[in-house]
Amino acid sequence: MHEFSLMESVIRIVKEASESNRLARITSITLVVGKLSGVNIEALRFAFEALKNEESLIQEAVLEIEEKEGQGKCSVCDKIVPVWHYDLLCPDCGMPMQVAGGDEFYVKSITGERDG
Amino acid sequence: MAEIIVMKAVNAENELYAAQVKETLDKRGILLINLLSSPGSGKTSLLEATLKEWGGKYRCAAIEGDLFTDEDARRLERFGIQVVQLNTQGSCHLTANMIVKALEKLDLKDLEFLFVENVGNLVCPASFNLGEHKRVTLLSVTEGKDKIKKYPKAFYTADLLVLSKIDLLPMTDVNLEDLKQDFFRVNPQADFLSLSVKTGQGLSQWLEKLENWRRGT
Repeated sequence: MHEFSLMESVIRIVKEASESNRLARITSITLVVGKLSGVNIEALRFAFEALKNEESLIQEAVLEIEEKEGQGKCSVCDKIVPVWHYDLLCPDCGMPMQVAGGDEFYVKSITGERDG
Repeated sequence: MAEIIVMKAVNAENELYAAQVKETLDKRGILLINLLSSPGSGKTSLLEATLKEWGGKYRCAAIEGDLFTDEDARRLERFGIQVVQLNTQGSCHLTANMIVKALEKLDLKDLEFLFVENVGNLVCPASFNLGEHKRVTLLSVTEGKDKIKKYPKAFYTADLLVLSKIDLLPMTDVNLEDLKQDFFRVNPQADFLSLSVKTGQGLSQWLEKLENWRRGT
């Protein structure tokens, strides 16, 4: 339950990207959150609403979240299957799988208005 | 209106600090072990037992993460090792930049093992790389049979699961084989060992594991 500090990191990334691209006002922030990332989306949204008023840059921004499904890849048969939890035995051959997707958490893009 | 593609991982900053920690320690051949568990699983007791058994055989230091107090640091200082106590003041996990700062307080010369005792919590610490070489997750048998399923990430990211307080197993409804199977489903690659610092059972396997890691095997 550390979504506040995660959101602070998101805001830092957004500020850096805004500065280097000379954006003065952000209208939307798009995050990609994997279902195996351990990040709680509801808590993330709550943190965003609480923190956005402290930053004029993002005060009017909307938070868009794209969720990614979890995927496991079997180490033996290479089959890729959807995974909802960390339950990593291949449903076909019973061998160990590795997480092949759905553990990501990144800032995908921002939209904003340029200075002047 | 402009759309900027950012594509930057939220933990990118932590990963930079983690790489810095690893580089600093690799240069000196120091093995960093990150210990994770819920509060009361016996992280500090395991370190005490380790230091006692070794009796100065290896040069060790520890970084203790707690919300408040320096009680764990004081317990380990009795063994004559350097200890840095980190108080997170309420934060639920350690981050790599805290380790960077802690390293500045340690004399790294001739150190062989550096143990980090993370904040007691099976959730958040699992998501933060501290630059460790090995991650060990402890689970005490008294925590019940369902914890691996409920908090999988702490087990998925571990290199070794230590089942502690194994002497108490008969007093619980935990079935050791079921627990191993749960762990195997979450982390088919990692190792498993059970021990008790009270009876000394399994302690030699733990010490052997540490020595093997140090030798890179």
